[in-house]
Amino acid sequence: MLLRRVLFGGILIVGAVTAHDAHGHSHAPLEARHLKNPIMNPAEHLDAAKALYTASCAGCHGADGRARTHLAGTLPIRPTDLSEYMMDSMAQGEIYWVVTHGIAQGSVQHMPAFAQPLTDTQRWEVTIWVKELRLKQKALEVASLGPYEWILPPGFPYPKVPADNPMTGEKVELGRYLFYDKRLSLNGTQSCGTCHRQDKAFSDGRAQGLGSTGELHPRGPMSLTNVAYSPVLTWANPNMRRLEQQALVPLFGENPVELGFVGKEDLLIARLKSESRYRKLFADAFPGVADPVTVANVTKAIASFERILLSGDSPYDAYRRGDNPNGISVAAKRGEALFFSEQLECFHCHGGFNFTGTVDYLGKGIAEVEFHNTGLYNVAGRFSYPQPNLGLYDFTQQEDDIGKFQAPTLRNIAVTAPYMHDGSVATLEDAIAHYKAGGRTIASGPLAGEGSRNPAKSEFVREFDLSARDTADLIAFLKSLTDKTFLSDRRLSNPFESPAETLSQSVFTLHGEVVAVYSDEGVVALYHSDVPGLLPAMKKPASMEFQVTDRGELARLQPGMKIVAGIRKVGSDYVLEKIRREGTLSKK
Amino acid sequence: MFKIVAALSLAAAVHGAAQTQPVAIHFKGSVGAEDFSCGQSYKGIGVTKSTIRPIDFRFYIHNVRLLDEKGKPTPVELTQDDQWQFDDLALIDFEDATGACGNGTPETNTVVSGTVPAGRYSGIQFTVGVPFEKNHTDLTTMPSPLNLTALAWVWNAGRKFMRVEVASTGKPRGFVLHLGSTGCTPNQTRITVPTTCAHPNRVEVSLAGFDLARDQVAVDLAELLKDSDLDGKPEQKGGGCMSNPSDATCAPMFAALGLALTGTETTHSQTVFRALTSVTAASARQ
Repeated sequence: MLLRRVLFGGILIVGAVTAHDAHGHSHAPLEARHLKNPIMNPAEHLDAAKALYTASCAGCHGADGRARTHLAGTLPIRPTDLSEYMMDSMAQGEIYWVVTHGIAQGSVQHMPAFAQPLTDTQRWEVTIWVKELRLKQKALEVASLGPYEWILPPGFPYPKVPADNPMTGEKVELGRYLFYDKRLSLNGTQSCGTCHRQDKAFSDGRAQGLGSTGELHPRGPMSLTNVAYSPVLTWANPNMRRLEQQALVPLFGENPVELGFVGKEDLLIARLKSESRYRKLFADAFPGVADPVTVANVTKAIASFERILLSGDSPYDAYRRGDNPNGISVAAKRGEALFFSEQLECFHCHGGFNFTGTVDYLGKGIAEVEFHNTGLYNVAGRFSYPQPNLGLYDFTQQEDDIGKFQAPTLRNIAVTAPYMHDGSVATLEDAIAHYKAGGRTIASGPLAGEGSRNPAKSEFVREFDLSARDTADLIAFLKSLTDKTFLSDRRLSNPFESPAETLSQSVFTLHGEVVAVYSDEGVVALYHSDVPGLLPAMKKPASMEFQVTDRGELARLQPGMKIVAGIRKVGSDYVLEKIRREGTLSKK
Repeated sequence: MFKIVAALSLAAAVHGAAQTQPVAIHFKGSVGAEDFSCGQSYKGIGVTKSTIRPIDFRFYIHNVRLLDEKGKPTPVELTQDDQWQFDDLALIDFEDATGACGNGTPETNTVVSGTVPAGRYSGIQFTVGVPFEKNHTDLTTMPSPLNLTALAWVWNAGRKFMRVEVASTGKPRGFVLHLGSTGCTPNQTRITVPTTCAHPNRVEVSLAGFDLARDQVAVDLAELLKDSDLDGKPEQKGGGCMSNPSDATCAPMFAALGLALTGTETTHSQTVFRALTSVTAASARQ
């Protein structure tokens, strides 16, 4: 019966002994969720409930439940804030259980058990009032967020929303169109959704992102799962604080070029204004504004859409909520125990409701931002990580920040391979092997080195024993974090998608002039003509890169050569084939 | 007491209004002895004696001062034109979106204008870059010229103080200098915009013996690039300097600008900006 409690009893750390442990788990045994409150008419018990709470509980937890009392401050372990979001996910049975048994750590009773002083009915009445405290606080939070109706996963807090960009359904709708619209790249080939695909939890399956002009990004696109809770964005940039600000990087960044609008903001705005759909969507999203189509409003709408990319409906969530005790396999349950063990230390960096230590939400006083060096590399020379990805160091230029990156959320991690900032870890097995060894060892080549000896490595990355079965269990647990609803939710899907996605089957004809040939990358840069229905012309000086899979064809190309080629769309890439010089006939 | 202060400031205002004079400082883009022009090619540039074609040439300046004969600086109050000048900041833009500069803007700006107290001035000083308090602002809400995406350093939450790009023999896609502050970090709680930058990388320019009626500030690309290797490996994509202190490519350009790249090396005065007496320019303004 008390198995869970025993399981976690050994890993409690000081400061985390509240009604929830460090991972947001209730201290009550899972079975307690199923205890039903026998009081059938709770509204009639509210006065009695409040009186009991005031007499027995308010001394430590405060009249408002927020545990800001003087007495609370003098206790070695702070009492739980009964008004905060984690109480949403606590069932009445669990609250009743904690009221009845109190909270103990070893021989120390941090919260007294009320089984003796209170009758069974009185303990259920206290439970009613504890629930009421959270509801009161929640009403305040909802009021501060405005009228937008959030669809939050159970047990999730409200995200913080910048005061200058309150959520509205209209902004979210506009943002959804902008997010998926390829007109948001200069050459009309990519949208945000190209590198942030819903079926891959808004990542793209590549080791490194590929921009609209064919330029390879030094790092992989991060999953946007629950990005609304991230107080700092992208892999290692401590200055990137808001989604509105971050949207400018793909739009206007040039090292590397992503969507390619640097210096062309007027063109972007003109393009959007020319569409009747956007004139209406912008007017609806920014009512009363004379000229709503602006770069600022583009970023506000995209950020609003990104804030609803919320995922908390995985089999593991259903299991934790008690909705489905057999919702995850026995192996996954063993994997859960390993994940939350001090032996493996996973949860130190991947803890909390979003399985990451970098988190912020409404009502959280201080945003938490963490960057860790996990010993992925230890190359020789001045820097222990390979250029150009030195992590936090690239911003702070402090030696001990080399190789420090954000720990991404583990929600939907099974669909976001390959892993790490540079996609250099192909599978979950490899990722676990890396941590098991306390860092990755690369035996030879320019990246050779023992990552476990990296001088800036996190103290939580330490070698541990793990059997093959343990590894499989851990993977089963990680896979139980995949939220299939999120991966297919129509509200989050591409509004432009229609059966007309036949482009990939067809071959079109392209006329172009070779600007440069990058034989090692299998890429040619061209000035080129319009390809009706496919992509707009890129004239001097703006060229675009195309993939050429046939290396023999590529080797024959020279700058200045005028060519005709077949062009085919493969995923987000454009591939040239059957390339010949303009004015010559291909061999029959 | 209040009365006296008020009277004094009133007097100062009247005095000031009566005795200001307009000032215009002319800038001129050059490549060695030749004038800068987007459509043109220039030979013999850098240690590799490359042929270059310009792609971009823009930079911000602020804190413009005139020096009197004793060397005492007087700030120039810039005209607020809703385009090139904002507070004490101005953008100098030599590219005109022609030739290889197609990603630029057709508008150019080679003059900084404003007023100074009447007097005799014989030198100028200014700082290349965007002042710290404006550098890390939101480009989508700032007025011109701080709203240009080409000069926003979006990932670094700041601005490119100077944007120089040339296509060279070995780097047809461009050899660049993006000068800006690096090592910028928020305070310890890390919940604000950057509060400090380890390497501000703002260039102080002081030109004594500058005759405002006759002289121009020549800004010389050939001098900026004189010790740079503009060709490198032909297969390598792009190239140049993003102000990364560990990037050796930056060293010669930073030296020419009088900046310490890593913060430890000895620096000399910048050599890229100099006073140029141009007979044609002077007569054109008669």
